[in-house]
Amino acid sequence: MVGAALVALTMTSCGAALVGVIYEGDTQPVAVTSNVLGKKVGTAKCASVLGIAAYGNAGISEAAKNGNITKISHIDRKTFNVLGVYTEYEYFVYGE
Amino acid sequence: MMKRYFLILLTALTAIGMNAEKLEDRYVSKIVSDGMLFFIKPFELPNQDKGKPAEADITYLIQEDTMTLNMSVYHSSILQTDSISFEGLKHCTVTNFETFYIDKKGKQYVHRYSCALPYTFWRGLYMSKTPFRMSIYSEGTKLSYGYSDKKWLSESTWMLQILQLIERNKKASKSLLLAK
Repeated sequence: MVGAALVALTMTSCGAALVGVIYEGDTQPVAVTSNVLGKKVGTAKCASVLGIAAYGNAGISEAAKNGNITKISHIDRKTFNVLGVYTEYEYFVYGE
Repeated sequence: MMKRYFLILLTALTAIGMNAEKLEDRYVSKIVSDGMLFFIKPFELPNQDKGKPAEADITYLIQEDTMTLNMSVYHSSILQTDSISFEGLKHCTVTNFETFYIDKKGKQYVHRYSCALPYTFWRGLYMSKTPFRMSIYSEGTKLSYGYSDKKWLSESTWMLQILQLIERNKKASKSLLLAK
């Protein structure tokens, strides 16, 4: 019973936005444009601890700047979260 | 009692999440219009002078067979970089690198550089039993980066595992082309 509740809490069906209350470690799409799938990649990362302290710069423009991307084709976001105590977001910007 | 269980669970989950870094956490692969793209996520190259490490990432497109190394280098002043050199079993000096930007971050300036290296050269750096050195030459300043002997085994192992995956995919894409 407890196990089923935990599974229900941490998972949703495939195709929907994944949300993990206890643990989340996934990559999800953020945006797609009409530009051709690019061969340049740029990343930016930010993290927060206990929702009190946050650090890093995870702006999409920061990621694009790091990869020298002027035409964005798509953006993915990787989330790592443990009980909301430690949360990390990493943006991957693809383009030319 | 509940508090105790909660704390144990919290510690265990945090420890698992923070320490269990898998190979797939270190890279991303994608199919793009020009073929298969590998992106080796940002990793640190320790500064030999106890300064801030360089942060590097690599983009590799199978069809082009060239590693594009993007890196952020930190220094207290603005650098006028002339060349970037890599010294391992083989030596390579790059002068045709790109400077993406120079920004102020806190007390330091971050320099974002990009250079292209042949795949075989990059692989050669990691095949060595001793760590390679990367040097940034700027007017009168030399910044050196590289792993310690102690860290080299673990750092070279994961990089070589990714390079091995790239090799396999290269072979697969070649046989696909031949089949066509």
